[in-house]
Amino acid sequence: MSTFEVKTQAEIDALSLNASAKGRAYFNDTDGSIVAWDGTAWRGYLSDGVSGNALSLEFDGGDRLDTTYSGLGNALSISFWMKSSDLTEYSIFFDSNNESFNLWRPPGQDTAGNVFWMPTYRTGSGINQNDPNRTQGGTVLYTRFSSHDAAYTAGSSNSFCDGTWHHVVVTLANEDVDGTTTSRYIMYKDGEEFVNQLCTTDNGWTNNNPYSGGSGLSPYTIGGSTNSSTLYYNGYLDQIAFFQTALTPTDVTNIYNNGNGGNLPNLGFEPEAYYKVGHFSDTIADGTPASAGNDIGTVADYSENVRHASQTTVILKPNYIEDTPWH
Amino acid sequence: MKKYILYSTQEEWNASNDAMNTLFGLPDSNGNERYAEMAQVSNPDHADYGKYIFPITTRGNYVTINEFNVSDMVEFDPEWTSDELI
Repeated sequence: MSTFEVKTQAEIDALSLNASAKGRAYFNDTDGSIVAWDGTAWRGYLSDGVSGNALSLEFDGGDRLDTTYSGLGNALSISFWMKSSDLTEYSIFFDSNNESFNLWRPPGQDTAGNVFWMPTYRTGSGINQNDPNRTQGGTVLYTRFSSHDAAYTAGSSNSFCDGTWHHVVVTLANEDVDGTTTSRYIMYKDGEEFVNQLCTTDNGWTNNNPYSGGSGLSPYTIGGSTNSSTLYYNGYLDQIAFFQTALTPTDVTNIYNNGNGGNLPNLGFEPEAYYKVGHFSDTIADGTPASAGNDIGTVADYSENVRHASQTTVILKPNYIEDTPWH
Repeated sequence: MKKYILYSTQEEWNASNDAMNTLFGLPDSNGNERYAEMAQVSNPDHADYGKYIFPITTRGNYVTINEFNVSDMVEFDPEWTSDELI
């Protein structure tokens, strides 16, 4: 019976292997994984079939991750974990250069200190940020984020930027309403439905056009936009997954309960792009394996589509940080 | 967090960016193409409207804060932009 040589993470990190050592493998006694050297980087597998890592991405308010995934189809979902204590105005979470689905935090806040989580999609079919009705009478016209206003953040169920990890899912899908096709936008926070509304002018959207993805759209950017050089997210992101379908409440609960340190394909999901962040094939800027405190090189896509993400402008690179929703 | 220098001319911005490209050997074989992308203060109501925004890194693998005069640096100003996504 063959066995793997046992080494600690520190001992593995201290190894200096080159291409000729391809195929060498060890049992990592620190985290229980099996790691194999592919000639340039370590690839690893956990013995229980669940994979995870200790790294997330830190965006410093001036960073942007560029994916190679464009919105497809007439439905979408984005699932991710976020941790932020200061969502500055115009924080962009996801953008596809105004041609697909954007998610961002526009300027302004209402008298209660709420700020807004702004979904827009294809050709401006978004909520009108200048619509005065958005702050009307406490009605949730749009999804609301708490600001860094301490008075509102304290104990608020709407608080997203409280310095702790939150799981967020947004879905967009078309449905027939009285013979007219329109879109429904749903947002979930920590597994629970947070906003559910039809994207119509009655609900503050600029028009009633249904969402329509398609080929040829600009690839998604994360944490910033190619459309703006100054609108950036400030905080951590982890386990970012794009889907071409609208996840159901059961799906969202499943991911929230099992997907943080797990593997979405193992849970039966088929994401279009899946950035686990800091996992085995991820690299830092010099091409070596991902490690805390270093700028990204390639953030690997763990879907079957292999749509890796990166940033070729060094000033815009987010960095890996040792902080995840489950550590 | 990053710091920033506001240059009045594109030539000044390019000179600093070229210097940082040289410092870090960019572009390199790992797919890193450039130090920064040019940006301008786009809010016409801002006192620095039209100036070129040059970012300075304070941490990570490409730290540049020691390459410039601290007295020239400013903090990020969300009023620089008048950009809207919709």
